[in-house]
Amino acid sequence: MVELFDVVLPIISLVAFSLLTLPVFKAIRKSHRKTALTLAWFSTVFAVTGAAVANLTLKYYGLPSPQPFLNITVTDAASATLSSAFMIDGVSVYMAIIFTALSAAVFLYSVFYVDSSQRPSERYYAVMLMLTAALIGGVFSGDLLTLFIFWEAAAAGSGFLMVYKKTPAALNSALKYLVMIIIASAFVVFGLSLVYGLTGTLNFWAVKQALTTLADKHLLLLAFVFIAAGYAIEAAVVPFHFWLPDAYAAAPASSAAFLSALIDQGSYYVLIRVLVFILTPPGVLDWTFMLAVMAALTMVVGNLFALIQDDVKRLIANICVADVGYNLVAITSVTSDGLRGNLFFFLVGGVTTALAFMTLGLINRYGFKTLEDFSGLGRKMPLASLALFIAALSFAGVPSTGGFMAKYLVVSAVVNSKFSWLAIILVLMSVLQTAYLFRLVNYMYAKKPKDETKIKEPFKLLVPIFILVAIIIIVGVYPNIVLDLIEHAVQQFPLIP
Amino acid sequence: MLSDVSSWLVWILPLVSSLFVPLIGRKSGKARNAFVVIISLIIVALAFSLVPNVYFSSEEALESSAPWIPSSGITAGVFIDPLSVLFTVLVAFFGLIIAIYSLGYMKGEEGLTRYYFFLLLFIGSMIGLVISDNFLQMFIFWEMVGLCSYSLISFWYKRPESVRAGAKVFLMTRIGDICLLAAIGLLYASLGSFSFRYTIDHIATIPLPTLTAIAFLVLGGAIAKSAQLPLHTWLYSAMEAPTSVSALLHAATMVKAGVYLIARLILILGPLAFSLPMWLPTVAWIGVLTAFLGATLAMHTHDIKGVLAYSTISQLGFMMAALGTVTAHSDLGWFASLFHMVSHAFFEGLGFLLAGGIIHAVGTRDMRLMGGLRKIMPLTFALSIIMIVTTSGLPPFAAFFSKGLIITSATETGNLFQVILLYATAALTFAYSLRFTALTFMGKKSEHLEKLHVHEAPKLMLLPAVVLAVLCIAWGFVEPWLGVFMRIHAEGELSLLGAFLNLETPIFFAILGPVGLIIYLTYYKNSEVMMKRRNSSNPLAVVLKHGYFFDDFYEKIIARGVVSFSSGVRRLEGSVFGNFPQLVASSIVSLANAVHKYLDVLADELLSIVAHRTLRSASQMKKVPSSSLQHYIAAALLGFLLILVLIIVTIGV
Repeated sequence: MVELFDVVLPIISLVAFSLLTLPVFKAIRKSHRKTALTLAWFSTVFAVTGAAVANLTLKYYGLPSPQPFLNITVTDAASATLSSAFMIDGVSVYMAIIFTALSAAVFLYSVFYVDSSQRPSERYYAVMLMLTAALIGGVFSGDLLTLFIFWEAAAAGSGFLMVYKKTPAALNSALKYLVMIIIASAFVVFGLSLVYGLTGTLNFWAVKQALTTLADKHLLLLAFVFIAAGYAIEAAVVPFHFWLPDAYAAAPASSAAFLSALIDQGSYYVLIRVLVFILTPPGVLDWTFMLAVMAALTMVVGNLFALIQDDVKRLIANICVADVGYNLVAITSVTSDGLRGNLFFFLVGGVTTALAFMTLGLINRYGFKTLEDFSGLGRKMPLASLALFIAALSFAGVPSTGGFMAKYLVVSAVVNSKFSWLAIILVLMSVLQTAYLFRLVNYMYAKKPKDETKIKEPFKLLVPIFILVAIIIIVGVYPNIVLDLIEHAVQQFPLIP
Repeated sequence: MLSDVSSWLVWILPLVSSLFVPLIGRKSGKARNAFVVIISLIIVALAFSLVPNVYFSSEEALESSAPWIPSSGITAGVFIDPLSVLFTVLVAFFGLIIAIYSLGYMKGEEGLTRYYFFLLLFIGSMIGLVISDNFLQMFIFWEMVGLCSYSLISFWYKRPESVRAGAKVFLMTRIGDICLLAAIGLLYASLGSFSFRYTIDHIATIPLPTLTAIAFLVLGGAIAKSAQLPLHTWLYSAMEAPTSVSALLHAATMVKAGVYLIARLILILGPLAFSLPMWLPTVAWIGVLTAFLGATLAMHTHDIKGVLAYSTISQLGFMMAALGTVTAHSDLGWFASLFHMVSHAFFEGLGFLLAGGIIHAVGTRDMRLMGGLRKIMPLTFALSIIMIVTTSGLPPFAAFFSKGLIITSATETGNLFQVILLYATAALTFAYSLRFTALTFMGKKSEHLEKLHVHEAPKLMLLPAVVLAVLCIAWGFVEPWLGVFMRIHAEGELSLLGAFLNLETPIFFAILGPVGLIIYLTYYKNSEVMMKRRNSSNPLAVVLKHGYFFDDFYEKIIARGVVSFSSGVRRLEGSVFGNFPQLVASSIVSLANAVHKYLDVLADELLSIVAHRTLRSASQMKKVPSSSLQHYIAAALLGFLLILVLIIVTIGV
């Protein structure tokens, strides 16, 4: 029971704080020192959640155990009709750490970014906290149903982040997003029902065990295709990706940062966890070629679409699609190397896209949206431009930024696998990426601005931005900080075939 | 034991001492010349010391080898048998002759150190080539010989023709080198060894098709090196070399490497040589045709060295033809070929030495500018009479016996057409020899010579020529002894008297004398006329003037074709690869634009439908320019199908 408490503590605390946020903000609104109190409130939230995650980490993380540290079935029998299970292993703890940290960074930005005077912003914060709770619940899930519930909560709930500012474009894209998510859910549910019918259980380990002895694979194949399509929609794999650029470009910057840094990474996690490590025990299904094709498609389409964008925010949104491709490339190798690349990429990709969206949010405030507008931005907004420049370096994978190490890990994982041609595509696409990102840099620094007015950059917004810049550079220069952390998860991850 | 040492020294000594030539050459030219001559003398002694060993040995071959690249099991070694000793002695002897001749002929030239260096290097490489006990070593020397040939042809590197000729020779012989290398590669792939001995023992294990391919590839190598059809044209170009070099490389020794190769291959193949489909007939036909064509070309050229070059081509054709007439029960052709090889070395070498003296004296190679030299250069004239008589195969000079043997062998085993062509060639040989003499020595002095003070060649150049002339006379009588030495089975047929009493002899003379004379007379007159009328439309003259258009074919069709092909490639490269990055970038951009536009158009289409039907009530959304939910869903379904197809394709149902 203590163990269950350990696991659910971060989730419960986030949910509770989310509910408490509404009354607390009513009180804060009356006070004179709104900003300070808001910051204090969220500091408390993340202190408690962070403590809960840290508790888990210290207690279990790094234990020399080949199996998950905790495997808790909430009902008595694993094969009861409706059961729920939690489990803690290296990867889920690592994901929880990332989610908590990134969420805190996004919150720090949102507090200054979201204009709380026009609209009751506490709902926005509450939703973000709830989503974080759902994500952490998702990574702690021990059976497919629990995972489904938590993950759908996170995915569907993030639609609300997109419509915080009720512009027509935001409503439109949020609607599209929700429809896509519903389709995805339908796919996944149908697939899961097939799996349940085949195995009689939804518990991760029971399913895996049952699948290894499965005689007739036809239904499993169908289930697999449905689940893969469902999760591919949520992870925005090409050709399921169309909702993503629309949604991210239309959402407010803080939402886009949250979506790209947390929801996106969560979707990759779910994809990997379910498809690679549960539904495909060794010798049951060899589906990596399919994944390789999708990865190649995603990289190529994402980068090509990014190439032709004039709107910088859409450009970054398309890079998010390309990042999906890079993550898939790492998955295709189905080795611990690939997993290491994935886990590293979750952090770096999340941080970099969040940084880019946050900076763009700051820049967009002054009406700079297209590449033309960005002309001479380096002189007008030196600090914001610097942050965007570093984000671009990290996207492009320039050494001494986190992006380099992430791409390096992915490439080195895939080079040794049977899909080494993916490495070639990845490298080519990175070159392309460098090209169009340096077009952006060229506009910022080499072109003459239309007017020389210097803009006073809001210091408060730059603080979270430069925290992320620091993370990118530190991770790039000392990747071992993160790699040591990942290593436990990689060594311990028991489900690699 | 002596033979053991000398068999190694005979090729290592010239190779090593060639390195000292530049050192000594820096001190004094005389010391260098003396050094080269002394080394050549020692080599001759070493070479001759091998003869008794082979003569008295009962074994097939004396072998000795040392590890060379131990890790690969590759050894360096010598293979002493009659064939290799015959060649070794010939090369060593000619090396000495030419070294002495060069003292006079090359006197006062620049770059003599380079000349002597390559001369010694050539002697060493050539002996190394014939004495090697494995294919790899042989091929290395084969290449070195080619390199020496190239360097010596381009000796006057300031003359563009020399350099061009050197490059042409190098490129054309390269074809053969590649063939030979391919053959060696195939052999190694089949047997895993380069060694002759191992190959002889295990040749039967190679499947017949592979063996046929090997034999034909080796033949390709021999064709290029021995200037046989259709790769014979390089030999005429090689005449840009100093005449001493021509005598050594392009008459006496290097061009015989191809003959050696085929003779060696016949030994290695043993009885299998006769079961290879079409191989020996091909060798014979190539030889016969080359002999005939070479002789006709020699009839026409005005170049004094050109006559000798085409004569060499023709005589090499005789040797090849003889090799091709080997049969299971008679190796007479094999012996005849080698016998003629030596005779040819003597008379053609003599011819070159004399030509060198003439060129030295009159300063031109064009025979039309000569004439009447018999009074000015009497000794040269006398020697050239011996040379011509020997070349024509008149008794009792060397070529009478050797050529007679070849024709005998061809009559016994060859086909009738070959025999007829060989007789015709012999007659042509007589004719062009007469023409050579007539143009050079007979008649009146040309206007060109009137202006010059022409004198007899120096003694140092005549001495080697005299030695060769003596050998031309004496060599034929060595026949029976050589037969024993070469261990041929048909020894009994080789009586000297038999050669005279042979049925072929009268036929030979019947054809040679009158026909040759008739050809000469008619053609000489014709050519006199033609010389006056340059633009003769006589088709035969045009064909001969162009050397059967071989060079035109190579230059105009093959070379120009290759050039235009490669310039086409270059242009393509320039236009495609030069702009490649831009091309890629712009095509990617346009592709992306097209995709984007397509999707946008589709999206807009769908938007109007969606906006009018599904989202009629959402008035706000109508304003949004890009809404395409149905399209997204369609794409998702397509993606689902894609996954399904990919899964089914990779896993199967």
